Amino acid sequence: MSSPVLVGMADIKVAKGTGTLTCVGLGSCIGICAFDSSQGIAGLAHIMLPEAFDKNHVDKLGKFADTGVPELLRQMAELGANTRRLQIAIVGGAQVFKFGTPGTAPKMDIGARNIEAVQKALRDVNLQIQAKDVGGNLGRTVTLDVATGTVKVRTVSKAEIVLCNFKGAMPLAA
Amino acid sequence: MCLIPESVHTFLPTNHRPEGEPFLVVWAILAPLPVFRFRGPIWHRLGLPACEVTGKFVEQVLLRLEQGPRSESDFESEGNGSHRRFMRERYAELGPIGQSVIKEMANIGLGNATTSLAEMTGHCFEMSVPEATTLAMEDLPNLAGASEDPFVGIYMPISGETTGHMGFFLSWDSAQALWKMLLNAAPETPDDISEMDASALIEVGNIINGSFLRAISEFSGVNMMASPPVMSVDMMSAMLATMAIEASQTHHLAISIRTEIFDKSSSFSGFFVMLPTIEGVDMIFRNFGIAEAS
Repeated sequence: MSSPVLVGMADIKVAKGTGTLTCVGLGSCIGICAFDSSQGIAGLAHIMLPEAFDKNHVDKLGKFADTGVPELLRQMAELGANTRRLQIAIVGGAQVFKFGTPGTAPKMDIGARNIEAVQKALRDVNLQIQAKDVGGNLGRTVTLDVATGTVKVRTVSKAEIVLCNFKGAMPLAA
Repeated sequence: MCLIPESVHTFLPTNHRPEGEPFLVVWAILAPLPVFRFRGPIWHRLGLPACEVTGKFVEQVLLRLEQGPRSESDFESEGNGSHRRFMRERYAELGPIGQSVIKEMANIGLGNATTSLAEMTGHCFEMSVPEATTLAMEDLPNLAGASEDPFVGIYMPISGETTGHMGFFLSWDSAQALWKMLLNAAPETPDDISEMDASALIEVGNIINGSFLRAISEFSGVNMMASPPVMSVDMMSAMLATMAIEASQTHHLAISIRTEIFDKSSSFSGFFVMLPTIEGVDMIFRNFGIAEAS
């Protein structure tokens, strides 16, 4: 198998047939995995922030939840995916810096805000989330295998888990 | 002393300066002038007499500013991406002198930090010559090569007259070495970290980040304070991404200063990242009497 395609911050990558898409080290970012099992088309967006400050000047659509979701759908539709039947899994939105003085530490709730914004953006396009691994204190690496539709999540201290399989049963559907 | 801020003021062209990033370059070069003024002998290490260094590098600044953007399309074609590329090219163009200035600042800031660390641990530390790089915010998580290895990061937002973000990062092995020095024992895995362990490393990060900030603050005359630190043990890129996101909510620039701090028995290395705001850089600029910068 070819080496995985890295989806950097604010990037969106789509693939058809084979390959692996991956976001390494999602902190408060969110990786949105989308899959059309009938066509074998997969997409992965690496969202940084909840919403665009100024919708007219967005340098990278994949940066924000509200612009990233429509762009992910557009790119997948371009490959021939049926965007009304996409299966979705979301991963990330952690609060990574967990040690500190309670109360005096900076308010770092961007992860939680990202989760909310991504869920809203997906609701807006009538897509349901089939599996999620979000929140908490751990950074995550997510990989989406295009051929099998398997979504795997890795963290520093725990073994890799299979979050879901878009083509088969959903073992850990949330 | 061949330079006073007013002379910079007179020469500074205002029309060619593109919005945003190039501030960094200018700040990086001008901010340490007082370093030279108060700590002249340091410059001898660069192998040049102090005055000559100053004259040369001011000349460099003016030259770079006068050249302006290479072409309009540099800035219009791809929005911020080109800005960043341009900044990187420009930074690279500045070459040894611009780099030396940032390094020198880091040298002093982190030198103080090393001394404090030595006092705290009772061990003798040495510091390598810092390397400084500017980079695009989105590239920040890849600073350690998209690493999934566990690192310890101590992050501190900067408050005061201007805001910003800074963090000190060290590998898990380095953290264990530090713990052994400080507490005579180290947790086996990230899950075993006790409150005591956490607070010891937070304190180290606090000292390193704080000394660096104090140094910049003193030299530039812009009052900056560190907010209480927070710590994480996680994938390097997850921590850097989190920092980049915090900074992306307003306009920030990224400078990474990488330095190694050694101990005779067990070597460990850490690196330091600072993300100043454009406004903050601007303010430092004005403090040198360069009003047109705003």
